Amino acid sequence: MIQELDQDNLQDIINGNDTVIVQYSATWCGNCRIMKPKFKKLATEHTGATFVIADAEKFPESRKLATVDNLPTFATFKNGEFKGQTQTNKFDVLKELVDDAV
Amino acid sequence: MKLPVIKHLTQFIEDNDEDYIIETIETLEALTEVPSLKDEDLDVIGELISNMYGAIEVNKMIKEGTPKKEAVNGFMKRVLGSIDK
Repeated sequence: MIQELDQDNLQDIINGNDTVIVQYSATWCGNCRIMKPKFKKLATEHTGATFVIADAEKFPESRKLATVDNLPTFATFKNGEFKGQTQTNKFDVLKELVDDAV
Repeated sequence: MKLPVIKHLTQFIEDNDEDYIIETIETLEALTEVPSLKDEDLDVIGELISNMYGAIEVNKMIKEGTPKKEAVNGFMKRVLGSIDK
């Protein structure tokens, strides 16, 4: 399951799902655009987890839930708690993060 | 993001057309699908796309009436405001 955040309610999504994987991105971020289809591909392969794309510019409260000091940042949350994050434009690095979380 | 590159591309859009940039972004995005691409190639392409989108955003603000210098500075503030640094 994948969803694009349309309001600053990431915490609710994290609380309501076992495993949540978030891509923090921005419309003007080149590496975010490169990674988006790869993120979506992983979402189709891991149907047990909730995949969320969050606009880091629009949703500062959601951003506070992970250390977002570069874009794209990928963060994982398990049972309501922050588990880890990485900032990358490499599919293998993202896959490792996701595999570790699910 | 590289400010001089964004400024240069903003001028390019003014002198020519935004469509050149949009089509170039599409081409670069398609290039990232090449499986044998090295990590450093991907880094360069990602950075180029960011700068091009930056120029498009700045151009949008200029079209809305923001002076060029303010538009560039405003965009860079948006970028920094999007990360916790």
